Amino acid sequence: MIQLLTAILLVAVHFLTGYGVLSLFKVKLKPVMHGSLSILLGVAVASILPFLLQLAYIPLTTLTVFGSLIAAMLLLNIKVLLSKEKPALSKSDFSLQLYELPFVGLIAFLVFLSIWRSYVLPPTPRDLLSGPEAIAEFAVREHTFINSIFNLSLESTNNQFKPPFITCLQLIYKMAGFPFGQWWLGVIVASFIVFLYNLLKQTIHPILAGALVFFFMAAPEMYGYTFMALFDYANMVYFFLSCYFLFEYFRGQDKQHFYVATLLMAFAVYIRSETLVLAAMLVPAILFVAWKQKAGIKQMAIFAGVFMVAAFLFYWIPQSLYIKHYLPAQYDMGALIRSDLFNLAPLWKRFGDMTSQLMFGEWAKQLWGYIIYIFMICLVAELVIFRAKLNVTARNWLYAVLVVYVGLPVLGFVLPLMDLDHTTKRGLMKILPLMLLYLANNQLLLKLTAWLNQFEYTAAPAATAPLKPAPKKAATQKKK
Amino acid sequence: MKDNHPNKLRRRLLLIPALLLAVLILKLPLVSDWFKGRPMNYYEEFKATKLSELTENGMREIRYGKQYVLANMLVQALAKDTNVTVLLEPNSYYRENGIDMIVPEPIVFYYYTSGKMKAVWTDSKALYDAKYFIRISRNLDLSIVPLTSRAAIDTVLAEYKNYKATL
Repeated sequence: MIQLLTAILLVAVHFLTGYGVLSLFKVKLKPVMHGSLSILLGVAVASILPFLLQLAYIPLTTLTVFGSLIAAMLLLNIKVLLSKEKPALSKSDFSLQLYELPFVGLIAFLVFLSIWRSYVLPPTPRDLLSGPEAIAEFAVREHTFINSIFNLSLESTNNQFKPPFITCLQLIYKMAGFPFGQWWLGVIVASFIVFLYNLLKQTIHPILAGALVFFFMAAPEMYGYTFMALFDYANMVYFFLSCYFLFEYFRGQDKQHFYVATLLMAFAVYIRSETLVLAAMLVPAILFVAWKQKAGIKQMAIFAGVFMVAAFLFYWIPQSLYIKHYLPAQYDMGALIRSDLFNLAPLWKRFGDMTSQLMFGEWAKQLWGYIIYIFMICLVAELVIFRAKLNVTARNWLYAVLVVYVGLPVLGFVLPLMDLDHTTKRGLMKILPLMLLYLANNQLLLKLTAWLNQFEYTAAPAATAPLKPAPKKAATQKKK
Repeated sequence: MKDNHPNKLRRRLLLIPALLLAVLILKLPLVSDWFKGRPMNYYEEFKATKLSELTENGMREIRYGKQYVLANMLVQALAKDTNVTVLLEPNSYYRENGIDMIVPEPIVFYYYTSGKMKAVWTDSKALYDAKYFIRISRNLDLSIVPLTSRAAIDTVLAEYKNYKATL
């Protein structure tokens, strides 16, 4: 019972922290999406605070850790507290239609099991036990991340140098009384799925959105990582959210969306440092949009610079400053880079292996279920039937898909430690929600949505016009 | 939206295609196999689990298996000694000799024992800190051999020189 109360309090702190962040950026979304995104942002902020305490050599005690969480929550909400504007919620913001229940029920069942298992099971991945989990466990007792772990024989592992994202969250949740810590993963999974489902519902009919989210959750490999704490699921979530806000910025030119995208990408890089390369691969899109908006060279440089500098800082502080100047053990990052970078044969091999084994082979089916096939079928159908006249948002999401598809083999080529069977496989999770968002803007599914809406809304004039306000993206894009 | 009022009957009727689609998807071979094999099994586990009977140690034993049990057996067996470091056999030795055991790497061993005991591998820099050598036989019998001198450790190393210390 006490644990349940603690869980509720922690989620409330995450929510309020994230709510404060969104208020600072003046971002407003549909209430359910706003709430779930607030929790996700709150978790991300929490994952940084113990690390900042460590950087300042402040002992990691219950008082300092939870004090910093509460201080951050209050500081980020000063504007909200001073504001007279109160959030207005209505019953309809949270209502579900009867036809949503089959898929929402299935999805809720899967999410519930993830939350349960992330609570009752101890962390098992070797990458976690031989690094972040062990450091967090002893940090609870020794009040520092630089603890007795570093006095051990560490020849067999380099996981003690992994980014502090999981270490921090494990520390917070262990201190809060969760024996295995990793319940934060359940919080991320539930919030993300709520966000994703509601995001898909904005463009396609809820039945289709439910089916797609279910296919996404029914990717066996993906589902395993909803209760087995590792970096990749969280990395996928924040990378995806960054892409979402970036494309919202492309659509509406609201700079606040760009800044949120920048912050979210920085979090994604903080979780997995090599995401920096994927962030850099998004820069051409930022420059292209700025150029189309007739922005000057200086402004284009500022946009690209802000996006990359934030991501770089979130890479450099944990991966360079912290490792070199705080940790007693040394780590030669340069030694991880391939020596013969001009021999491209391994790059093509990695491309081929990733495509044939991880995306379309027999093994791929066991990893991801049907989701990649659905993406491919809908994409080919759209290209053939609609003669490649993809709408702008669909093109944006396809660009993001391409970034991951090209980026992962490149990373595997440059960093040979990123093997195919483990690191690349898990990295490929990032491509799945991007595919879903493309599907949510696929013209076949939009036509089907229009047809379902016409059936549902009697006063519909014709199948060609969007009947609900929801498909605003599709409508806006057509204008472009 | 305000101009397009939903037809309540039709809206309810949409439950039928939603249900059919959900059933159809659940019947797809990959989904069906996965759903029965994983989520439904997890649900059975959930139903069978009583929170009051769950102990932290019990869950660790289930999830970490023999490695965890071995580490904690050693803690109990050497409870009288303080600041103990044990030398573990290489996993490649177990693999090549058909011994069904994998010993954890030193950091994980330390974690499993809650910091009560340290372990080293045969390639560890700190291997001369070891006070005991842990030998596991084919029938998983455990021997704890005291290491009283550097020469004793060198003898063990010579015995395992052809086996790589690895996971």
